[in-house]
Amino acid sequence: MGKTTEVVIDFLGGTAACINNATYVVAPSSIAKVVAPLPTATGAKFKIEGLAAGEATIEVTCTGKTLGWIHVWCAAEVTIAVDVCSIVSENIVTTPATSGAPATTTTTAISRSANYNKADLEAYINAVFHQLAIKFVVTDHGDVKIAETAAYSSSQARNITVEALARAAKTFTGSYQMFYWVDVAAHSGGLGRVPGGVGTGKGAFSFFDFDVSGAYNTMALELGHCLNLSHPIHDSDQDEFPLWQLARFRMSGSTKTNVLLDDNWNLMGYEGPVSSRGANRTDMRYRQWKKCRRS
Amino acid sequence: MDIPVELLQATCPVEIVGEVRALKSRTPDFTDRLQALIQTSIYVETGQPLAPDCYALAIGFILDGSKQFDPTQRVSLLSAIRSVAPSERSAINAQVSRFLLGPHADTLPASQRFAALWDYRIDARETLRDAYGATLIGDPQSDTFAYAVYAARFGDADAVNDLTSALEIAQSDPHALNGMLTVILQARPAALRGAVLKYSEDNRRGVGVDGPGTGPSPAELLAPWQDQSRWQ
Repeated sequence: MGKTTEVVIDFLGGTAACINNATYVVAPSSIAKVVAPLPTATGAKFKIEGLAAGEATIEVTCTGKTLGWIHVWCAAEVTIAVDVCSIVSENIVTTPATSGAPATTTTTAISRSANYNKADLEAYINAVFHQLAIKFVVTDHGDVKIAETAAYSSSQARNITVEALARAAKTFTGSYQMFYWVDVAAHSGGLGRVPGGVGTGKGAFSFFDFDVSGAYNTMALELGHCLNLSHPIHDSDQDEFPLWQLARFRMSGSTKTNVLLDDNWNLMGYEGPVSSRGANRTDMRYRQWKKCRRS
Repeated sequence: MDIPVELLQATCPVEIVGEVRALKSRTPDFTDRLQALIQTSIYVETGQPLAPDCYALAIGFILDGSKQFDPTQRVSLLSAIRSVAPSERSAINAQVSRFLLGPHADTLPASQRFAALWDYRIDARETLRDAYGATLIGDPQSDTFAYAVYAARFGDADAVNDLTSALEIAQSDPHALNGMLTVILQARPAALRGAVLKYSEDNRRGVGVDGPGTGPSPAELLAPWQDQSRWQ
């Protein structure tokens, strides 16, 4: 809203005379307007300016014949403050004193500082969420040290405990938190997690270090969960993906796998090998734009 | 009234005046410089002694200038204010109060604004109650819910009652209950501890990343927060 976006338009089979005389009518006109100059060739870009929050349709016609429509979703850009940190944890075991020996304490490192780059992470998630007119401001808290009593576990309760320990150790200033939890020895086996649940969780975990392909992308996906977005195959409300796609989910056998079940190029798609995610997994669909929380 | 630059120049070393005034320029590292200035680490870099009156004026000058900031920069500023060490907050409390309760304050994200007011222990309930106080608070992401949590941190009886009622209404749906608990657990007002921990035995699961029934239960969310010392 208050800004312009560029749209590429293809006039398949259209003549120059038709393209140059095409009209662009926005309904309702209060939502958006087409900004001159207008396209003069197929494949050209033109600009649409958002005027007010809402939705509109642009009908493109040539000599009274409808050539096509462009749907416009217009929203005010919002800024959301988020935090990032590495959870650096140690397992501290204290053995009580006995009659013959003093008490002893053994400290074992469990998770280490991640090598993420705050500016790069911020740029990445902003590039992804730009399509929803959401901008994130990231505050980096570096290492947040906690004492754990067990090694990595995929247990939800365990992740909730780790998140709670981090919150007790540090006051975060953002609306959401991005936590890196990287095993000192090897990849933990987990990719990412929102232990608090879709739409209620405030903490997004990535178990990647930055140099593992997909770390920033995984963090963006987990942030999407915080903002109320589901995986394609878990959209139980059926309000985030196209109806044809959702209808295919309910099929079975090979029919079900013949469509974008995983929607691997969608930010929230998650099935398939890690190598197929990352750079390509950034798009979001129209209904996801509307579902996504904006604060 | 805004702080005149002459007063800043008369109080602070020239290097610090330069840093503060330069912040008005739109530079690529604006966010980081803002944070460094407000958290005082820039003063360490320049080797200047940090006099409390200079610090307060410098912060006030930056906050006055924030009227020219875009919304993203103002959110950055709010985060930076919140990240000031508790021991240094008293020096700038008056300036921060002026910013958080000033004419442009209602354009800030409400939950962050209320959290900042609490960080600085600024009790503005009398000023804010008419605009944000409500007896029916259903959406944990709403401004009214954020205000109720802020007021509850001051032990406000009405806010505690409103939030207790909101939890009771939401309890039929564990996911809705989790949503409220999550927001409250970020603040952990001591006055709400009893009303919140009564759900510690609720093992119904909310909506997780793998669909309904795969999310955490209220019991799991509350398990790490049983200790009274973690509520404030």
